[in-house]
Amino acid sequence: MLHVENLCFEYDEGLKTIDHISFHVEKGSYTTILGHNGSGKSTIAKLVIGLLAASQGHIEVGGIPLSVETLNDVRKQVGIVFQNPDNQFIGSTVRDDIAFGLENLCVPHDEMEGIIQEYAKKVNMLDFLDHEPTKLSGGQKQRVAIAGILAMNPHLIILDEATSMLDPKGRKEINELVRSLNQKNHMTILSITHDIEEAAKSDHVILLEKGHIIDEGAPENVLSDTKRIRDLGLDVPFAYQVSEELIKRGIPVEKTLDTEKLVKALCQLHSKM
Amino acid sequence: MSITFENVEYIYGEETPIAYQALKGVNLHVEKGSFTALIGHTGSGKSTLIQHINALLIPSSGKVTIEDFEITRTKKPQLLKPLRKKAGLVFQFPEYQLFEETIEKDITFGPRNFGVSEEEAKQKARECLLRVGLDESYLERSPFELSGGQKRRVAIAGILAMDPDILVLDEPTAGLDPQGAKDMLDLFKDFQKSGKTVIMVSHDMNHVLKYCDHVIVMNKGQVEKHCRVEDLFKERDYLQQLSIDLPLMTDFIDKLNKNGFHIDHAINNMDDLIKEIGGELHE
Amino acid sequence: MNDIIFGQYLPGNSIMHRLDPRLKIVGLLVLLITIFFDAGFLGYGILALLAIGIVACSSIPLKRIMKAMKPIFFMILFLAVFNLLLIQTGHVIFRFWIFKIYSGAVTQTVYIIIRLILIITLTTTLTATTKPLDLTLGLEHLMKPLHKIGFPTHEVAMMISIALRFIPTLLEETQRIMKAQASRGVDFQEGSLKDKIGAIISLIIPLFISAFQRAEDLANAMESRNYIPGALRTRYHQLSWKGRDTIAALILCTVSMGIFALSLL
Repeated sequence: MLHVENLCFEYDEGLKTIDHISFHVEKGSYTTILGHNGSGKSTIAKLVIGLLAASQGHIEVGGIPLSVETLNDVRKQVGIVFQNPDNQFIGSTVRDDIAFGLENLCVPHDEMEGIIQEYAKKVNMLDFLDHEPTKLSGGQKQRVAIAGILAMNPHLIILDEATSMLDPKGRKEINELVRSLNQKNHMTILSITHDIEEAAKSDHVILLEKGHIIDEGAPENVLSDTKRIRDLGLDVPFAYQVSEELIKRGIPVEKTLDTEKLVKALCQLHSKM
Repeated sequence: MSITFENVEYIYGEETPIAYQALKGVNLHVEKGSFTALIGHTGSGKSTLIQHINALLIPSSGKVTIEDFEITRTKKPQLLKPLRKKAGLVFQFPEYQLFEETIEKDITFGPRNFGVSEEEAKQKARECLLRVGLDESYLERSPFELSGGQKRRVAIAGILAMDPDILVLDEPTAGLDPQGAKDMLDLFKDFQKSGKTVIMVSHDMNHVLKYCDHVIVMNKGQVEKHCRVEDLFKERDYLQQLSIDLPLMTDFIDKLNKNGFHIDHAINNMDDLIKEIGGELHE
Repeated sequence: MNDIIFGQYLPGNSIMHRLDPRLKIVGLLVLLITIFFDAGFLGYGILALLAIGIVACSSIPLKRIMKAMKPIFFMILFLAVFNLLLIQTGHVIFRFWIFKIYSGAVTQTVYIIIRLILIITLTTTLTATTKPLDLTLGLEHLMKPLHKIGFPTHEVAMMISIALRFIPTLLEETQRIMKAQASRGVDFQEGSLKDKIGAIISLIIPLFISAFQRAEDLANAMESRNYIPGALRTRYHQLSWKGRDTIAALILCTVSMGIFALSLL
C-alpha cells in the first residue's frame, strides 16, 4: 500500500529530521510509528501526503509515485487526521465539514446528502449533523474528521497523533473506531503515536528515534526490550513491566503484553502452592 | 495554605436567558500541603471550581476562604489581586500564554506584575528555569524557538517564579509524551514536598494513583466525593457508573485478589507490587 | 452561538427568513438608495408602510428593532437639534431667545430622522433574518460577474466562511488567554496607560501567534482533503430562486420606481 524508500528531510540546513528512512505498509494492516516528541514522526505523515517535500528518496502510495504532478491523485488515496481537532474542522457545522471534501472532489450535489448521512452514521455523529464545532468535544470533532475522510473513499488512513490532545474517553472512542475500520472494513491504518498501549495492539510497529528507524516488527518483538523503550522516553506496557520484574525475581512467568494472560499465569502459580 | 469552600454556587450569565448553574452548593476543605486530584467529566464544574481559587471567578453565593483571603460576591476585585500571586493557576496548554521577546522576560512577567524588583525577578527566573529542567542558556532565547514541551516548561517556570503557596493545574500533562509527563509530575511532587499545596485536574487515573494523596470527584456541579486516593479506588461500581477507569495497577491487583491473592489494594508503585506478589508466591 | 455572537441573526421561519439572500442583499441596496430620493411625505409614507410590512413578515419582535436604534439615539438627537437650529430655508415658524426655527429646517430634520429609522429597520431585519453563511453565499453568487474579470470570488467567499466559523473559537481563545494572563497579575481594567498597553500586548501577541498556527494547520488540512484554490468545485449549499422571490422583487421594483417618479415631480 505504501512504500517509502531512503527518505530524507531537513527543516534546517544540516540537521536531518528524517535520515534515510525506508519502510513498507501492507494493505489492510494496522501499522504504528512509535517515537517520542521530536523523533521526526509527524514529519513522516506530512511527507507521505506531500505537504512537505523530501530532500531525498521516494514515496509510493497505492502504486502511484509521489511527485508534484501526482499530488492530487495521491491525496485522493490517503486521508490524514491531524492532532488538533479544532484546526482541521473547516465547515461551520458537522455536515458542512463532511461536505467539504466531497465538494473538492466534485461529487454531484444530489449524491452529497446520502454520503454525509452514511458516514456520519458510521462514526456515530448522525444526531449532531447541525452542531457547530464549539459545541463538540475533542473526541467528537476527531470523529467528524474521520467521517469527512471516509466520505472521500481513501485506501489508507494516516493518524498523526490524532488522540494526543484528547481525554481518555475521547482517545478510547477514536481507538475503537479506528480499530473497527481496520478489522471490519479492512482499511489500511498508519498511526503515528507515542501511546504504547495502542502500539501494543497493532500489527506492525516501527520504532523511530532522531529520524532513524531503529527497529520494526511485531509488537511482542519490538516492545520487548523494555530498557530501550524507556531510554526512548516512552512508557513500557504495564503487563511487560510486571512480567519483566517478576522474571527478575525468579518467578516463572512469560513476558507478555497481555494483562489477562499474566493474571491467569499468576493465579495458576498461586493455586499450585 | 488551606482552601475552604462554603456553600459555593456559581451561575454563568446570571439574569440572562442562557443562565447556567455550574456549581451547586459546593462544600470543601483542602488541607495545606496536600496533593489533591480533581476529577470528573467535562461539564462537571472542575474548571469553574478552580477559577474560584485565584478569584478569577467570584461565587454567586457562598464563600471561599484561602488563608486570610475571603472571597464573596460583595468583595471588591482589587482587594483580591494579591491572591493571584499566592494561588498560581496554570491553564491547559499554558504554552499559549507566552509572548515576551526572551524567556527571561516572560518568566519575570508574573513577578513584576506583583511588584517584585527587576533584580529579584531575574534571580527567580534563573532558579525556576533550572527547576523545570532547562539551563541558563535559554534565558536569552525567544520562547518561540522552543518545542511544545519546552514552551510548557517555560510557562510553568513563569508561574513558579511568582512564588505561590498553592499550585492549581488544569491537565498539565495533556499532549505531552510519557517522559515529558513524568518530568512534569515529578516537578509538582517536589513542589508539594517543599510544603505547598497542589490541586490537579486530571483524567489519567494512573497519574492520580502515583502522585496524589487525596481526590475530589465532581459531577453535575457538585462535589460527590472527597477522600484519600486509595479509598476512592476501592469503589469500583461507583467509578464504573461515572465511566472512570481504574488505574492499571489497581485493576490488576483487584483481578489477582479476586483469585485468592491478598495484595494491599492501596499499592501505587511497581516495587511494592512486585514485592507483595513475590511474597505471596514464595510462601 | 456563531450567529448569536454576531448579535443579529434570530432563528425563525418567516417569509423574510425564507427569501433568497441575493434578493435581500440587492433589495436592501435598492431601498437604501431609494430612501435618499426626496419624494415628500407621501414617498416616505409609502416607504414606511413597506418597512412595516417587511418587519411584520419577519417575526422579529419590535423590541429588537428598538434595541438596534439605541446606540444611535443620541446621534439622531444631536443631528436633529443641529439641523433645526442651522437650516434656514422656508419661513420662520418659531422663535425662542436667540434661536429661529424655520419650516424648511423642520421638514429636513423630520426627513433625516425618518431616513435613519428606515435604514436601521431594514438593515436590522436583513441581518436578523439571514444567516451569516447564507449572506456569504448570496454575496458569492452576486459577485460572479467579477469572477470573469479575474477576481477570486470563490476564494474570498471561502475565506469569509472560514472566518465566520472561527469567530466563536477565537473569542473563546481570547477569554482563555485573558484568564491566563490575569492569573499572572495582569489587570485588564485598572492601571495607567502604560499598564493597559502592556496588558493588551500580553493578549494580542499570543492570539496572533495562535492564529497563524491555526492558519497553517488549516491550510494543511484543506490541502490534504484535495482543496485547490481556483479549481472547480461542486457545492453542498445551493440557492434556489422561488416564486415568492419574484413577487418580492416585483413589489420592490414598483415601490422604488414609484418613489423615483414622485421625486421628479
